[in-house]
Amino acid sequence: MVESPPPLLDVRDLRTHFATDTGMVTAVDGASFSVPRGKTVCVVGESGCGKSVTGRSILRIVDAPGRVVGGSILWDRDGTGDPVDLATLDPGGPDIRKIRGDEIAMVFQEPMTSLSPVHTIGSQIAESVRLHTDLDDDAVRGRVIEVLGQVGMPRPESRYDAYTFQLSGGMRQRAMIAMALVCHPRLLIADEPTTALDVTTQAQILRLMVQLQAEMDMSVLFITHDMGVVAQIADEVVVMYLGTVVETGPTEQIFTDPRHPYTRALLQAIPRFGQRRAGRALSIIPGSVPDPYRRPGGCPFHPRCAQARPGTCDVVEPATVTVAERRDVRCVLAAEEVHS
Amino acid sequence: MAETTLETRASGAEAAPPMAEGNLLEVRDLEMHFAERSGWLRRSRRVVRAVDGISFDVRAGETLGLVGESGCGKTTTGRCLVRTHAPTGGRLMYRGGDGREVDLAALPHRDLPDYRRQIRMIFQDPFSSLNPRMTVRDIIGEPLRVNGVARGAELDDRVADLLVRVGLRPQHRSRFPHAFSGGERQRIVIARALSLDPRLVIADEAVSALDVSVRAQILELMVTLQRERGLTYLFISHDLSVVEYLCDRVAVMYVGKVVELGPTEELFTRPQHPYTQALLAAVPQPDPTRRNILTQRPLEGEVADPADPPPGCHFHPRCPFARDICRTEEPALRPTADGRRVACHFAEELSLPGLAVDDDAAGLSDPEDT
Repeated sequence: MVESPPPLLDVRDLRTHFATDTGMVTAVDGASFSVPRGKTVCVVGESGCGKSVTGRSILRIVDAPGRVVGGSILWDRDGTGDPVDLATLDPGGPDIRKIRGDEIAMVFQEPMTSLSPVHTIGSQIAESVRLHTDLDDDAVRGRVIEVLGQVGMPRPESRYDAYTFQLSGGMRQRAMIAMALVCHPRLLIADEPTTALDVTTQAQILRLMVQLQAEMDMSVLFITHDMGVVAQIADEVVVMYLGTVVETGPTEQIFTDPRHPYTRALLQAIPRFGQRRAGRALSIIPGSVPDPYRRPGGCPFHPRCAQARPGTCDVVEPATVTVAERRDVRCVLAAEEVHS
Repeated sequence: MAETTLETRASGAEAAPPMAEGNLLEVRDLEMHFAERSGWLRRSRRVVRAVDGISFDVRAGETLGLVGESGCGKTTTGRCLVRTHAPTGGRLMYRGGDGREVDLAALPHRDLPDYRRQIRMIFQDPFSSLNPRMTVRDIIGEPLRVNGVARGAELDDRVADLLVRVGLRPQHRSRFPHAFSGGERQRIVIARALSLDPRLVIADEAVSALDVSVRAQILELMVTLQRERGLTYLFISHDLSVVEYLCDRVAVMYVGKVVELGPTEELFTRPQHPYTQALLAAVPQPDPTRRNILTQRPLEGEVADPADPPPGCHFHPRCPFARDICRTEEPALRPTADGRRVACHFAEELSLPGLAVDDDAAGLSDPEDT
């Protein structure tokens, strides 16, 4: 087997906990996955699965009282095999601030709350160029106008001086993406960037992101709850449930041969075209995602799992087994298949 | 931003023609314009044509989908039907439980309670549509009490019965909403909507805020309740895959107008309006072997401003097929050869691609068999 280059980002056993007055919330509880160079990895799961906190943990911008309490986040920018462990850096220190916005950038769901309403979009984007380069004012302005053009903003010279309220939702999200891409990051973390948009605008933004990713040869970690979006853009998929990664693998394999009962149930819960007329109801996962304060013991999915085995799944945390190349499943059933 | 209703509708309009057999509701030329005042001393005034002359029927026992992007007027249409808004024009003919035909749009306020019992609404966000200080018993029982339907022990039984029907445990009826998850809250909202035995339920983005696994539960619950109680649904949503699953017929709206109306299967497999086609093409298909978003050209531009829509066909600035006539003449919603209704000058000439039936979904290859 040819040795593949080390991944750009390798998250191992990440634990991010929130110590609140009412108890400890284990938002991310031992998540492991990696992001290869130049690929799009989608993190998918329902609300409360820890997908957003995972994204924020990588950039070390978890809101208080959340803290990265364990695991490693290995960032290997140049593929030298000598990575930086982001998990050990001081979240407010100079080392992570050099990486944040420059090597790793992030796009959020709601552009209206993440862009400043009292600064022009041009000046907001220019700020990050000034922080990370030593270009003069004219060159900074030129770079900002160039990136606004790249993200498909019409008349970028005049939009430089526009305020967010003068832009539509789709244009604001383009401005957010421009801000993230202006320093040519190696990794873009996008947290539900199209969820608040209409479908036709969502299609424009998804297409733009895929095109920019190829042009700039960067990796994208795309966080979403929408299996349709995953199928459209992902090279690899990371399925999360209650702070754990239950399954990872190449997109086609996840969709055609899901191994974890949760992934399987999730896929069968989405309506397919023609399904109702064919007389097939949606398959239903009973119950709902448990309260974060009352995580079930053993496998976190066992109370809702049709194949759960009493005495095993409710007692023992399942191990993660590698069933094929770049294909991990955290379930006792998969472990048995591998061992037999 | 101040929104006030324009002049109340002219009273004494000519008598409405009788309703067609089998129709529960006939919407005719419904108009809901809002006057928006802004600026110095609020002197500048613009008229937002949220709903601008739409017509459709709702047949008894069917599920009619109302789809479109934000700002198309679908929510305003729903709110006109329950008379949260008093329409500025048009008729809303409704056939009551007693067989009488009334125009809801012209109904005086004192007569509204009768019809509000028959037409109920389910809202999008189960977190803001339930009063956090009321117990589930009070939330579900309130419509029964206010309308004098039941009291005391009978009320309690009715509430328990409704909870069972929506899949909740009656023992939980003295709990407050915060003790329930999002999906359970939406079940409470549904139980409340059903408490007065309505005939028409208007569901405005009723499953949009829910997680995928919970969404499937609520959709199947709505299907079951419709079968058991012969309910009629007006299902308002932006999510085309859910609409395709649930609805018998679909009306597509764009900037205050209905642009296409027809049976779900035909509309999805053979769209006749370019906007319908563009909407379908923009839905990310959950199938990595069919990457429609990346292979098809997305619709350019953005939804027009309903206060200042483009002349002619409102869709023409974004339409790849637009010609001169589209820029000047507004197309009427007219029947086409196969009985659908389309508002496009070139509906017959265009041959637009729709969606192909998902083989997996149709059961041709059942994943459970393998």
